[in-house]
Amino acid sequence: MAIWSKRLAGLTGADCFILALDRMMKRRRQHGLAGQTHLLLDSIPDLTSLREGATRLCAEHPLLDAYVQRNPLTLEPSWRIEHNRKSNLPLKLWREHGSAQHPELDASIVGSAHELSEKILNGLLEEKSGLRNLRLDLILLRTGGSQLLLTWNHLLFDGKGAEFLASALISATMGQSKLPAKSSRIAVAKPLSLCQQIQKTRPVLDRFFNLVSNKYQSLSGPRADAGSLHYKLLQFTQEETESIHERATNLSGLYTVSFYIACAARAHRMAFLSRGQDPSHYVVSIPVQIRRKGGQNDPFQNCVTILFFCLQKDELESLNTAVASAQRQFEEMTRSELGHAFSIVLNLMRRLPARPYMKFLESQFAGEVTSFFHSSTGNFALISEKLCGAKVLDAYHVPSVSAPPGSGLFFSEYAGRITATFSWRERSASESEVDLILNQLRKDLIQNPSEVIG
Amino acid sequence: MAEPVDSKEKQTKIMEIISTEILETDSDFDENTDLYSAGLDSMATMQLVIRIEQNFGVKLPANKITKENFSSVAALARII
Repeated sequence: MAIWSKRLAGLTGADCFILALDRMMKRRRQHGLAGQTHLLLDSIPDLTSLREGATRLCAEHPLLDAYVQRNPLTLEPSWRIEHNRKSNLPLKLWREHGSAQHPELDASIVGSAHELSEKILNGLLEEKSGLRNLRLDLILLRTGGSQLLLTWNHLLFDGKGAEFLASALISATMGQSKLPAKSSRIAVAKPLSLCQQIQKTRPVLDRFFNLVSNKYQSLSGPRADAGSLHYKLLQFTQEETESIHERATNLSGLYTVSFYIACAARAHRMAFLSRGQDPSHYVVSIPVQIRRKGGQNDPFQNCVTILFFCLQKDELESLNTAVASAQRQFEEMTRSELGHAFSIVLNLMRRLPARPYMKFLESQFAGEVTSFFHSSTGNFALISEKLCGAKVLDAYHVPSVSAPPGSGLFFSEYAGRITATFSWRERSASESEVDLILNQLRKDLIQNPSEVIG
Repeated sequence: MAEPVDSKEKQTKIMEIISTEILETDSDFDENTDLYSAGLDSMATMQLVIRIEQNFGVKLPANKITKENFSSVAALARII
């Protein structure tokens, strides 16, 4: 690291949780925790505007090229920037094999957009083609349209933040600088005394002791090592999405988060059953935004707390009972302000170096972390449906996952269409298990809700 | 027909809860603003139900927690 550097911001409690996970992944040769946001465009955007926007974004937000360093005395982690940081965010151009040639564009050939996307997620963000925390790739598709990939470092962004980042890029291409007016950077400040904070953590400790007393497994198992990341998408039409919303409302009322958790758990159970296993419990951590909802916001930092759900295998026999269980837990955890309590726990753990942090989590969760990852980011918060003259046809996320647990199911929605992304690591799930998971998911989202697994 | 005074008070209190704890609201946010368009989702609905119950000392029955009743502050005030 450079001697001459400047402190930009402290890490949030959730950032430090991700930092520990990221370090565990790097130790296991899994390349760290990244995410990718895809914008599918109906044509090729104006490249000059896009490049100018990327440059403006880079100039205005030094955090994009910042790195994490701890104060050697206090162990306080913070984002720092070198004085000679990069001042440009390059846009790498690609074209799918078989797409129309544009001699004026210097585009490298790639088999498919999906293949390139996986290659980037399996590489290092620090490659010279991007900044430390963001890289941009535009792929010219066989269809005549194009696909913009924003590959981001999960240490600096969460899923919702990535949507605000995409909006900030669009704003920058229109010559509008700075972040949206409703910027509310999450403060690291602690308004409660240490004693009060420790008292508030009691509900989290109770929940932890309850969780670890249950037997649960992940698809990768606790000793997972390197393994490439792969993903598959289930993209639903507007009609299918309406039908999914209707089913979610019928089963879970307005608390649809419990519907998606239940679907994700039942889908994962199919893979375990095909292995001849039937774990008694499924534990899943759900990130909950602590940014207030609505409008645009500051993209940076992980502004989430976490709720832990635990579903029993008997409850997963039917979707109705699985949803009911998730809903009961959701209400209990919200009433007991478990999310707030977990924020305090994460905050208290900020100075714990990544290795003992992960050791602590591994010991709490029997080395499994969780049964699988899951999140539902809802409506994609994009500031405009146009990017440099091209219409945004679809927008969704492709998060990478660590092993353990080795897999994750994620939902987002754009223009009235839901996309489900299933991410997994090689050796955590076979192709046939992935198909079983996605088939069960499609059935639960669209077909008969009372259908019994197996 | 004019709303009773206590209904206006309820609306003001609900708007305060929403603006300070649940949603990023604009200056034109009022009792008729569509809460779903303003960003109300599953997680935010649960938080709102609990905040309303705590602030008004009531228990909202499950059959009142419907899309219509949570569509605006005015609709919400009517079920409390």
